[in-house]
Amino acid sequence: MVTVDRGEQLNEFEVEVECLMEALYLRWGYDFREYSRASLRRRVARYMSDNHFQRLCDLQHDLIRNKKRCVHFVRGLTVNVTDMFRDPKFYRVIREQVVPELRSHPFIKIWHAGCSTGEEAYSMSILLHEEGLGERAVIYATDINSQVLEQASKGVYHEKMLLAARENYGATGGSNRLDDFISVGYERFLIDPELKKNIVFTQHDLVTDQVFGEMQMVICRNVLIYFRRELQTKVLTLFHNSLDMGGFLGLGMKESLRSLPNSIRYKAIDESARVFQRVD
Amino acid sequence: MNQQECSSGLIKQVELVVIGASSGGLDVLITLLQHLPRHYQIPTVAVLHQRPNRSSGVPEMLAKYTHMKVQEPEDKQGIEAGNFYVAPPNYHLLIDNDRVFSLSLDAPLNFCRPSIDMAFESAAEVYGDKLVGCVLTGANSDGAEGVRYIKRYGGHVLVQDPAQATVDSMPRAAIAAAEVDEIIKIEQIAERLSLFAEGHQA
Ligand SMILES: C[S@@+](CC[C@H](N)C(=O)[O-])C[C@H]1O[C@@H](n2cnc3c(N)ncnc32)[C@H](O)[C@@H]1O
Repeated sequence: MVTVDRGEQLNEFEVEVECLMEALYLRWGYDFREYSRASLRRRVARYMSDNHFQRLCDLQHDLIRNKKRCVHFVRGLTVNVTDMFRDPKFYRVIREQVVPELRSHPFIKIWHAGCSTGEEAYSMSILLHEEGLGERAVIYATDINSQVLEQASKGVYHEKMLLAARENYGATGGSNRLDDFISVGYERFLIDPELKKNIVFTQHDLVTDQVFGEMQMVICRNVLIYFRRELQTKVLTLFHNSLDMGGFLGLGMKESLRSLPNSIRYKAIDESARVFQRVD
Repeated sequence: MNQQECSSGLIKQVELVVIGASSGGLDVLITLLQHLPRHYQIPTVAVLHQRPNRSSGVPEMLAKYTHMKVQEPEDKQGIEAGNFYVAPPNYHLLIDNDRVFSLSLDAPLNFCRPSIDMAFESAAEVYGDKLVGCVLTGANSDGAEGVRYIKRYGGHVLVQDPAQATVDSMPRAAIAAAEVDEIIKIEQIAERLSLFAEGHQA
């Protein structure tokens, strides 16, 4: 059997993936060059087999010449799994420890970066309405993938997600029932249009786009896991620059501030729920 | 070749051990830990299929049986000697080229998240022939594809003897997928790993 000496050396496919990322950036400005390779390569391979490309160079040829193909490919590269009230503990900490501080603001701005199909933004909107802050808050919900944003702004989800959503909601310490905020029918459930009024869905690329200023809270969950540490540092700095002094940062349950530059400090509101507060 | 060195009794240089287990996996991991000697410090990753429950309690449970530090790794945490890592439920566990963990929420692979195949494959890509993969008891065929990968990159594969496994489909699938190096009982897997650990210290 031939064995490969790994060391620093990349194999043929790995080299081709590097070239492709460079090409996408040069041609269309999509910048995946600093994405974590382990999962990125797997998704490239997956896209090739789903779309019947035997060789990466054929895919690259097409991607350089065909914008539509590129948009399709970028959708294939991003992972859009999400849920209503995913990780109830996170929302419980927001409810119990962040909301009381938000009350002192006449106007509240929240940024959900990498919101995917919108469940997270609606969950927050429900929570804020319950706490009587709905009228005062604006939620900016952004993602790189325009297709998921379209879905998000509809606010319609499949009924099979409902069971978990109800259960999660129950565990967040809410005083109502989830069903007070949705209507169910035709195997779907629809978010109350009232909850949509203060959510703005727009496309935003965390790698290439600018800050969203003066936020009281930035929530970016399960997006940084797709980035290498250097890119995490850059994006965490972007969040820092988007946050008001004393503003809150919420991350995914397995994400940390380990990539934060030394010059920036946060206070942990709840370390295990990944809720932090900007202190300088 | 490393494999031959191994079977001829020379000690192979091992820098990471990855273990895949499913049904009955917790008990057999405990047996494994109980049989690992104190000098065993090779960083070890266990990918155990669990209910997609947030706080699994598995690390706390395993910690009672070992001198190693048992933890669920965070994203981009470095891989270090003396640690026994348990894949967090509901995420895929991958390894990046610079030897840090990288988590992902990609769709389940063959109904599994974490997927043993994905963890094995990415470990093989990074650690090449410095990797040992172990397939233990389990009720599906996750890990079989990963074992093929580990062998392609020159790593070493130990499979729990199907006769000893609580559920034998997973070890059997691994054995069918590639020429694995040894098919042995869990106590012998522990012995084998402690032998590798001597090479790791050197
Ligand atoms: C796994 S989803 C996370 C969804 C949600 N935040 C959650 O935790 O349930 C990751 C999202 O990040 C988005 N994403 C990936 N790269 C991005 C970038 N450069 N800028 C903005 N969003 C990005 C993807 O399109 C995807 O919707």
